[in-house]
Amino acid sequence: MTGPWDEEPQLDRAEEQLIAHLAAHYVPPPMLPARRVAWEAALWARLQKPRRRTRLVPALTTVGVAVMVAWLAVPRLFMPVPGGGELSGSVGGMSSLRQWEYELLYSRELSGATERDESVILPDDYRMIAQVFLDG
Amino acid sequence: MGDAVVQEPPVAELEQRFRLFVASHRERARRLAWRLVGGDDAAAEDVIQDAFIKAYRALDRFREEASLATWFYRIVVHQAHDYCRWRTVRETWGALWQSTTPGLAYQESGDPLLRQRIARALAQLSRSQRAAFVLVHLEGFSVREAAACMGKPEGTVKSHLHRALRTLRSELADLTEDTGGKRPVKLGRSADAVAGDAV
Repeated sequence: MTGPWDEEPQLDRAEEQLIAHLAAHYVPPPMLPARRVAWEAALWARLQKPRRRTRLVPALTTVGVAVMVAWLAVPRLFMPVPGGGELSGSVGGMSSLRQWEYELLYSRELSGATERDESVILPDDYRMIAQVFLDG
Repeated sequence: MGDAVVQEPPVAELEQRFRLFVASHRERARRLAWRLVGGDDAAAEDVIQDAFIKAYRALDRFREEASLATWFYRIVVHQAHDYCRWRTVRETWGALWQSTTPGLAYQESGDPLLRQRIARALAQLSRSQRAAFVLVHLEGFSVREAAACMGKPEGTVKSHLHRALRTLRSELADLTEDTGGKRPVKLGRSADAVAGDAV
């Protein structure tokens, strides 16, 4: 028959002495009354405070870090791709260009604007300098 | 009269019962936490405050599988482990920036040197071994209660106890000479027995 004491570890005399020594000498000093009052006041003050929702913080932090790493590592993912990305292969052999790259490179040709047309956006003094150097 | 509706106790009554629970378990929880965190008064007080708050807020999730006291001491053990883990991280990072060597905090009363020796010897144990040893041999929990507190099978706890005792015997062999062969002091009552007093 198994008694409730049978589950306890069997100790020899030296082990009993050691444990008795530890139990007697490894004890915390008593809590001073003033400290206990302060501790209880702090405890109840914390209990009265509304609970902070801190569980989402690690998850949101992880997501934020992952997005930042992805943004730094693969910036292409975050670039705007108008028209759904790749052009068809019929555009002058530039099938590898995306729509926005194509428009950026060939915006002048697409809009029919000439180089000289751009000069109208320059301030007057810049235009005069340009005329001196470019037109001779 | 057949409509017996189980009513939750009002908040004021719940608080009153929790105050009793705190009063009856504070000292034992503090002693347990103090021994688990290596003899640091302030850390032990922080640990049990956090444990009481967690217990209060999780009372609705408490199931009757274990006694309330065992459930609470399980939270204390977890909090102490968390504290030790963060302290290790802080000390590791702190050592990178400072030349001072981290150490355990000791209260300068009684026999601080002996206490330091014991704390160092206990620090050599793994967390599970230390928890098992403190719960069973120093705090008087049964192996079953300690297993419930640690969330481990009883056989594992016994194994931890055996290894912990072997390590401590080699570290503190000289302490077994002059103690008169007393049985270990059973500090505090069984967790289940204390649980009946409160809440």
